[in-house]
Amino acid sequence: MAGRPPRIVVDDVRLAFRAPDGADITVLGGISLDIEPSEFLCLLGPSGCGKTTLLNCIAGFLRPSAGRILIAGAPVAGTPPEVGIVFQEHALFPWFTVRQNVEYGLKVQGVPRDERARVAADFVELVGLRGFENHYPHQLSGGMKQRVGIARTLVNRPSVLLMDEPFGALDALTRDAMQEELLRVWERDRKTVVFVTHSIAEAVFLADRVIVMTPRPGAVRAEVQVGGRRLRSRTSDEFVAAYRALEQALGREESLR
Amino acid sequence: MTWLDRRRLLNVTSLLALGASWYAVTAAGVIHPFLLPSPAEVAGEAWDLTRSGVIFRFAGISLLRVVGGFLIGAAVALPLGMVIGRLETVRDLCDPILELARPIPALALIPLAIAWFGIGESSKLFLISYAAFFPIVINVIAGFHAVDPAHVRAARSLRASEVQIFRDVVLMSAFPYVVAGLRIGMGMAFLVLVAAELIASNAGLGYLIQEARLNFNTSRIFVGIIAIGLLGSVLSKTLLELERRVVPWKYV
Repeated sequence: MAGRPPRIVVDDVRLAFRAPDGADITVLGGISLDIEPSEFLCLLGPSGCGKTTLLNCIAGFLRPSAGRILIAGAPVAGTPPEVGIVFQEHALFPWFTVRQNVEYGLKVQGVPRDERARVAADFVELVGLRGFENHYPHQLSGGMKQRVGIARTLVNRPSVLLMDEPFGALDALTRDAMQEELLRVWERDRKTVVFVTHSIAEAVFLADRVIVMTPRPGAVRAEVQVGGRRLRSRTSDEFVAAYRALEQALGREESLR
Repeated sequence: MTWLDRRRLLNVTSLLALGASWYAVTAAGVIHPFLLPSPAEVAGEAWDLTRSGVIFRFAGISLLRVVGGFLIGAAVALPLGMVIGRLETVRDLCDPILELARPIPALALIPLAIAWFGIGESSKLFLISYAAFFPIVINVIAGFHAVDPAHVRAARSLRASEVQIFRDVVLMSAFPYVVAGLRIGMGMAFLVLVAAELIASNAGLGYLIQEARLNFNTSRIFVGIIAIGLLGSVLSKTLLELERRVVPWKYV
């Protein structure tokens, strides 16, 4: 729980599996990353570049074929206790209300009813959903669902947040608003964040550093430091410059030519 | 006038129109009253059966048979469906048998039911439970099979134990399917009831109709049929309402 945000080390991680036709498919071809405590890191790349796979390895859902992943110096085996995960498409439990979803992480640890109600109420408030505690997920908009997803993860007070295209299914305006909300929440305790996205603008807006990945096999093509902390204005020169740099790294300009 | 009022009005209109045309046809004398008695005659017969209490006793007996057969079918289908839904090996083993047996209508089993269980209660319960079994087992299998891996991962990442994951994710995912299966199973049980009661019996709504036919009492046949219709629709409305209450996250 709580604790200071840890460093995450990804050391020459490879992942391959055997296809039904017997061929070996390399999904991750030796990736190394050093993620600083409290760093906001974005993994950026097209579909199929292995960014979600890499995230699943850090989350302990997948075991790399070679290489190792250390969180606070300890090798990952199963989901480490300090890690919280926010899923693509939110993965809320549809049979639980907002309150029950947010409380779930406390409930399974045997936190008494009163205390978990209090803690859950704080996090529901934090993501701006007060008054919706007794709604079921299907009664909420896409953005509200993902807010619940974030609150549900934060309740366990992870010091690392792994986020797998959490805003991918949202419309552009909601998405911008959610990015701002996420930064506001992140500023409170500066967890170490690994955020997967295929949106350049999202990466530039959120990240301290962006890792650009390329597919088959998934590898790091470039690494872009997104300048002096936050580029809050999406139209500033720095924002545009970082956007251009990432676009170039992704090889977009080449393909347009 | 609200939309709901309009719908209710139309519902009532169609029922009244049906009754009116029934009356018109019988009043015109184009059909022999033995084949189609007038609404008044049927109402009179219904009043007699109500006053004597026969209709309630028979409806009660029929309901008891439906519920009994349904419970037997459900008691077999629930655990079986859960095991088949969760374990791939068992699923591969059982699939062909289920696929072969599923299209066999319960009515085709009447001769077999009589041979195995005689003409008493057990053959009726057998037929009804057979009919209830399939929709339940198929839905339970689907429910336990359709657990979203993302939900399991989410629970696991929130540190739920395997037991907690089973209780809070697997069972909860399957629950709406199980409830729908039970409702449909009850419907199927009700559908074969009358057929089951046509096998030598001395009570129940099916018997009422059969006995009325032997006594050339067409009005009574109509009363029996209408009673079955009423009982069936009340039953299915009640179950649907129950489903909405126990699965609030699908309907609220």
